[in-house]
Amino acid sequence: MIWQQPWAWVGLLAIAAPIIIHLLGLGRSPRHRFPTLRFFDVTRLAPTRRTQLRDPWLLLLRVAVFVAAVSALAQPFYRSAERERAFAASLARVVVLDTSVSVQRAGTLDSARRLAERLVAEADVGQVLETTEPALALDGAIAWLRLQPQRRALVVLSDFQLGALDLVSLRRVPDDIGLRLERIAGASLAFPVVSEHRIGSRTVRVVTTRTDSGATRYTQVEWTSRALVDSSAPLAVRVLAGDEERESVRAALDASFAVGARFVGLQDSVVATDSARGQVIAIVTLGSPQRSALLATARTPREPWMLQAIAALQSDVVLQETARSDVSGRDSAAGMVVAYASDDRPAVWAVEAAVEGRASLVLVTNTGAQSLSMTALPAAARAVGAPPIGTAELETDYLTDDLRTRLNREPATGLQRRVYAGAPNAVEGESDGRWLWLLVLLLLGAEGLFRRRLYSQRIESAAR
Amino acid sequence: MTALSPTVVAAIDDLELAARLVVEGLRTGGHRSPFHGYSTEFRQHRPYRAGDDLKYLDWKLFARSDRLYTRQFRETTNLSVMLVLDTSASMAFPESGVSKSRYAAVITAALAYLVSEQGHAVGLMTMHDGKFAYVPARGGRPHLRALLAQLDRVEPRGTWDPPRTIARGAQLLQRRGVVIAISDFYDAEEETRRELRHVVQRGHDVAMLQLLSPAELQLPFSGQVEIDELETHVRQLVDANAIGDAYRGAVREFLDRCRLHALRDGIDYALITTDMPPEQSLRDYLLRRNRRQAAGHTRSAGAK
Repeated sequence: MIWQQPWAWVGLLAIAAPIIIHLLGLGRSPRHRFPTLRFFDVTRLAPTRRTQLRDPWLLLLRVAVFVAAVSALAQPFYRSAERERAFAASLARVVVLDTSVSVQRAGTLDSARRLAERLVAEADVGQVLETTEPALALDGAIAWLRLQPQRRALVVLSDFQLGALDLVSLRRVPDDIGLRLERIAGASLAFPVVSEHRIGSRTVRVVTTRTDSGATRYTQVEWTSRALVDSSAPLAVRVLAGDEERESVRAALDASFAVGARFVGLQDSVVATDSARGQVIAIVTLGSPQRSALLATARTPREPWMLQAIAALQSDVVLQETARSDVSGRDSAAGMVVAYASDDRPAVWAVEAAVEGRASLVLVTNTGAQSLSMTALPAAARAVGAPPIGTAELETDYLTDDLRTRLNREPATGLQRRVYAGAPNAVEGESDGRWLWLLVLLLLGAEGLFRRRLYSQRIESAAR
Repeated sequence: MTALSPTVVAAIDDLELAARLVVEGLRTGGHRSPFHGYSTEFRQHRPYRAGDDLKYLDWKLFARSDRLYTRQFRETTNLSVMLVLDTSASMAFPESGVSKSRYAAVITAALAYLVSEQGHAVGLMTMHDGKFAYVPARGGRPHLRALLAQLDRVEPRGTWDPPRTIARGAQLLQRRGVVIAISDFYDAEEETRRELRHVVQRGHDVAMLQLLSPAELQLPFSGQVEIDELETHVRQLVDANAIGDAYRGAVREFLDRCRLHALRDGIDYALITTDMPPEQSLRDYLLRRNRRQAAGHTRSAGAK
């Protein structure tokens, strides 16, 4: 027998109710002053103590009603052989697909998606959870599987970078849930990498570099807050560059990929994001044909998010350091300086202008397309609205195949526990509790008849 | 004339008035008082008849005349009546309506009035908290008023010791008299019976007026009730429906026992319930006493 809602047994406390009512009823006996007790038969007085239960069969019936009702609420499920067979023949499967940057960079995401869909199709019911944080997705997968009446299996498709999915997370998976860890190819990030981590309301930015010997080195360089930039809205970064600058801009965009930007490629001289909605940052290079027209209509940025973004850019140490190594040779026409060059002239400055009819933050560069600051600028711009990258993305080590194989296991075949309440694919009411509800009705009927007969007897007795 | 109901009589604050009303009712019914004095003064001789008590034979006259004559006496002495009243807490029942104590007070007052009016001496004996409270047996209206005042002050409370109270009441009578005990006789049943027998043996005329309320006879409760005993305040839960028959049987047995023992011991016995008019209760008792005395005389006459 499986109790699907065992917490319902707490309701047994309600059994105290009829007993308490009964005892309270005893306490309400009317009191009469009388000359003597000498004519009351002592042998008959003994059973009429205050604690003596009156009508015990009626009380027993009422208690039985409570017990049956509570049992029904606990949703019993009888483990018959037929049910065991049906359980063993069906399978619920959740596939957790790691879509972290390392997997995306390796270009294996599409094939991994196809594999996930095939695995789900093989099961009776299934789900694919795409996530950049597989460890965090495990809880949701386990919770969903717990609701399923079939055998349960969990499949993780990932490159298993250390830190992304560790043993502690995997051991949280209950024993009755099968586990299958499938490796897909991943690619570690190019260095240097700028990553950010939120600590309370503060953001810590980390620059990771690799030394000549191949070891990685982490440096915390600063922290800042970027509350005004709406990270939930897509931030588009457009680069307005001339044809001769094409190759240099592509290299710069490759570098910015490390911080999560989702560029789809170069289109002539304009690089666009996959979404034109939300906030737009446009980078205008020296050779851009739209430069003159944009600057003619430009004005000092006034939107709060633009000011916030400018402040973030001014705090970007990579951008600032690379700009310091460049030579500008030009002054800004208007707007706010983002970074200074080595000659103390603006290397990058910001204005507000309409790009393709949309009010945008325009970052104007005074250095060439091959300059270091031009390389750092797209990454810095994208980082303004990008979610922070997990430290696991910086890992170059992976879960070993030996350990991964040892963790794999088949789902349990024995019928464990069936919970139907809230399950999306549950067969509503499939519980043996309905028989107990029938018993409750029968007991209530018996209680009514018994009570009526008892009260009739009392009335007759009183009448006599 | 219709007898006054116990509720009406008990509602009269003036006990003397209540007693007079009861006694007037008795007179209207044409009943004579059964209380007679004891004669000690010689009146005349009459020829002996078989059955006459030999102690009244005048042996000296027999010696002189060789004929048997019985001496007859004239009533010259007053009767002394001691009313022994139960004032225990059990007499306070029922708490609503006419209580046994009030009913007993009316009956006692009526008896005192009746006796006093005939020129006899009457006294009152009670016990409160283990101490006797009594009015000695005397005649006269001032004494009657003092007795009624004492009776009016009586409040039922605590317990009493019936054997001691009856014995002390009998002792207070200077000569042979009448001792009338008015009580429910719940307490010390056997000792009380023994003491009453002793009083009879000492030559007194003894009467037991057993006073109960209808509720005590019937136990008019139903369901589970808590009984609080008036004298001891012991409480007990009982199922009145379950024990009703047994209770009524036990009460009947107790009353039969009291009546049979009284008859055996030569004691006048009357069961009085508080739902009877006091005048009727008293009349029944007096008639019964008259009949008994008449029967005694007849037996005596038959013996002579």
